[in-house]
Amino acid sequence: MTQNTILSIEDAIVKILTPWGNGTGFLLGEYELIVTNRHVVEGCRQVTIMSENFKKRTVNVLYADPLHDLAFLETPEDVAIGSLQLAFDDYKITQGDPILAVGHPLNLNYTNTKGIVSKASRTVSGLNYIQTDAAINPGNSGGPLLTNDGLVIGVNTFILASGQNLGFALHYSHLKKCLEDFKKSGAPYAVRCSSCTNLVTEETLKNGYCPYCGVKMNEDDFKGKLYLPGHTSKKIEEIIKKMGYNLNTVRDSKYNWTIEDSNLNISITHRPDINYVSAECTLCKIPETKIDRVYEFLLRQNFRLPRIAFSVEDCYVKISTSYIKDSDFHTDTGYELFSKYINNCHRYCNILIERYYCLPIESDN
Amino acid sequence: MSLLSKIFNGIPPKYSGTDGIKFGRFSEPAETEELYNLRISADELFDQGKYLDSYIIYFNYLQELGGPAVLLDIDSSTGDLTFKLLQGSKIVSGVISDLEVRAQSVVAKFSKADITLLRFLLGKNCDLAYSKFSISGDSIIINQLCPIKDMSPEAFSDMLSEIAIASDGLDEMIEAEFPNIIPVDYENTIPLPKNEVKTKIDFLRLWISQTISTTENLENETLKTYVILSGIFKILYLISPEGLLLSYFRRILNMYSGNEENDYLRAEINYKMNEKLKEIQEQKASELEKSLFKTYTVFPETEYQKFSEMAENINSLLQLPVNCIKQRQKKLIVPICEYIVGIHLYQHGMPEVAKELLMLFFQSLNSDFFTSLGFDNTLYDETTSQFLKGRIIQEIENINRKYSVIYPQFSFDFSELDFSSKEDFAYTFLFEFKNLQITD
Repeated sequence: MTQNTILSIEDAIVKILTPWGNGTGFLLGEYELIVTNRHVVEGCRQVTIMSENFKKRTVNVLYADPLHDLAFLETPEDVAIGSLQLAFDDYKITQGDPILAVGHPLNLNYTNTKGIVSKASRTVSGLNYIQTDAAINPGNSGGPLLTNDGLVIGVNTFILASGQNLGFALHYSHLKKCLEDFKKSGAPYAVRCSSCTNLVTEETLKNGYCPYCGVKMNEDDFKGKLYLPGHTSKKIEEIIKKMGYNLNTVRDSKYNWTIEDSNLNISITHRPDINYVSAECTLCKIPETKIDRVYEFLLRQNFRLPRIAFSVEDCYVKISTSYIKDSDFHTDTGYELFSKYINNCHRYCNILIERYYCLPIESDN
Repeated sequence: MSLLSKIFNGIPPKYSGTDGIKFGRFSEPAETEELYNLRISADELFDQGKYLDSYIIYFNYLQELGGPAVLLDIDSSTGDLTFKLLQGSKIVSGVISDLEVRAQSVVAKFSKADITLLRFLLGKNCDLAYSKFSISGDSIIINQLCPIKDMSPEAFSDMLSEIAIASDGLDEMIEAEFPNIIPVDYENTIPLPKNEVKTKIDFLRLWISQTISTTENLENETLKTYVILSGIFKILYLISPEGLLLSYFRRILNMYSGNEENDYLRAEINYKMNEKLKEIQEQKASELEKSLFKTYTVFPETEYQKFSEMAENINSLLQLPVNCIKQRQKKLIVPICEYIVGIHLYQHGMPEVAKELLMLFFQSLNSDFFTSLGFDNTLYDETTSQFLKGRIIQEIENINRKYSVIYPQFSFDFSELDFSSKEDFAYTFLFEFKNLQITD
């Protein structure tokens, strides 16, 4: 696989964020839909997506399928996303074929995992899966399994927790049928009944039950699961809203938020295990010359500035702030601290670049 | 006047005899009910918005915990609190007003800001959670400043402890590693009596040389690691070096990650550790002396470990002396058992009874060292190579009597001890120790 092919694949990959976790999705241009696993977006009618090429934005979930563990999302109109192509109907997958799994495992951005097909067809609960040896991790869910030519042959769906490198991707034939079914339904939103396999829409849903087989449908698939942030998370989200940011695009998970403000990404984290709230932002890269001036400036600012700490990790200059105990975290002082902190992020980024010749960071997240 | 002199009304503390001899680092003691109540009441006052009152209570708690090394002044007009405390040779100071909390410690000074030092400090800031390295004038400082409303005594305690431990732990390292560093606050150390210094230097050299000679002809790299670590922990606990020597030993310990799975890696690490020990061995007595002093410490550097956890750990480590027998290396049983005792005493706080018993273990096996320090209760006759069984049993009976009041189930069964050789004694002692009923 050439570097260009890999880059064009990455263009079609999105990261999907919900309060409960994150996963991967990919665009199939032919259908104008983003494909992912249903368990990635479970209980959400809207999710946040982002990619290398565009900032976070909210999109609607259009299709939820607990039977195949599939979900389709709308494609945002205002950004260009690359597109992947499904393998042809008669494409033959054989044991030993080289494959590529693309996703955001363990919250890492864009990881291509190479491997081979360990078993071309493995039946689990009546569905056909491709078993691979690619080291798939949480966060890869919903990502594509690709041939060496970049064709989609499956959706990475689960791994065997006890096994080493045992990944399972839903066979693309199932995906293709689901895409066709949804297209045919013409509905703006549909959920597949896991009992009779028919597609149920908001119009056909019968008082919460499947109109075709009478089984009770999952209420969250239609109404959306209510997200109730914990005590400290709630305060953090109040502050984020008060500062004028869109919570849906800022929230990465229950305990992580990223504010994209101009060229800076400001991460806020709550660690309930150690009762700790912190914010961190990478400002710039150290310059190539006169670096000692930068270091001395940062360390002298550290003495002067309350609660704000500069650090240098690898080539990056970082600025952080924290609450030692989340029990001391108050909405009023938290708002004051975070507002000042964000101002300082911009202020010091400018100072470091303009006066100390630090280098701006590329948008590589 | 140094802070230490101020604490002791201008007369720097001295001690003689064996009572003032310090072993190991200051470990977290089990918190008594009174201390617990004091700490909780400080937090309760804080929650009621009585910020300064809550901090006064917290400092009472700290004074109970840290002894005389905590000074607190209350400004009668403003109510502001000014504090100073000692952590090793370092002073942590600060001011608490009804608006904000400030704390800082000067780690060292520099005559010229070197780029390697500056980068080191900025890199270290990635590891600090509650405070930060900074510079002001020609001083390297760890500091923090926060509105009081956002910092309860509980949070303050975490911050203060981070500042104190980082400042005390890194000063010698910075001094040794970077150019143009000027040490500060060394006047806050207490000199040791001459005899103690001499004994400690003699035994430091003896134990290093024993460690090197024991490992030289040893083929099993895993056992070799334990023997080296045994020597290091024994020195760290019984000789208690401070300053550069402590920093040097810590760097040797850092070479060993515990993940050296194959013999090749172990062999390399073992070689490097031994080479470093040889470098210490070659240091002049006048250099070694500089790192032998005593300090006051407020914050524990090691965490309290419940006896049950310690016993479980010792139980699994006792497989090591069994392996020694299997590999026909009975002579390694003593250093291996000393490793088990040394690592626990040095790295953990534990119930007093456990500490006393483990000290008795060390005292029995290193009688020459303790005698040379001035301890009069010799437990091993070096001329006949025999344990003075009656004295050891007497010591155990004293401990049994003293602690059976606190732990009704506790009794060390000395009838199971095998006094026939140092190896048998070491193993049977630990075997009985891990079975003790000490509830905490």
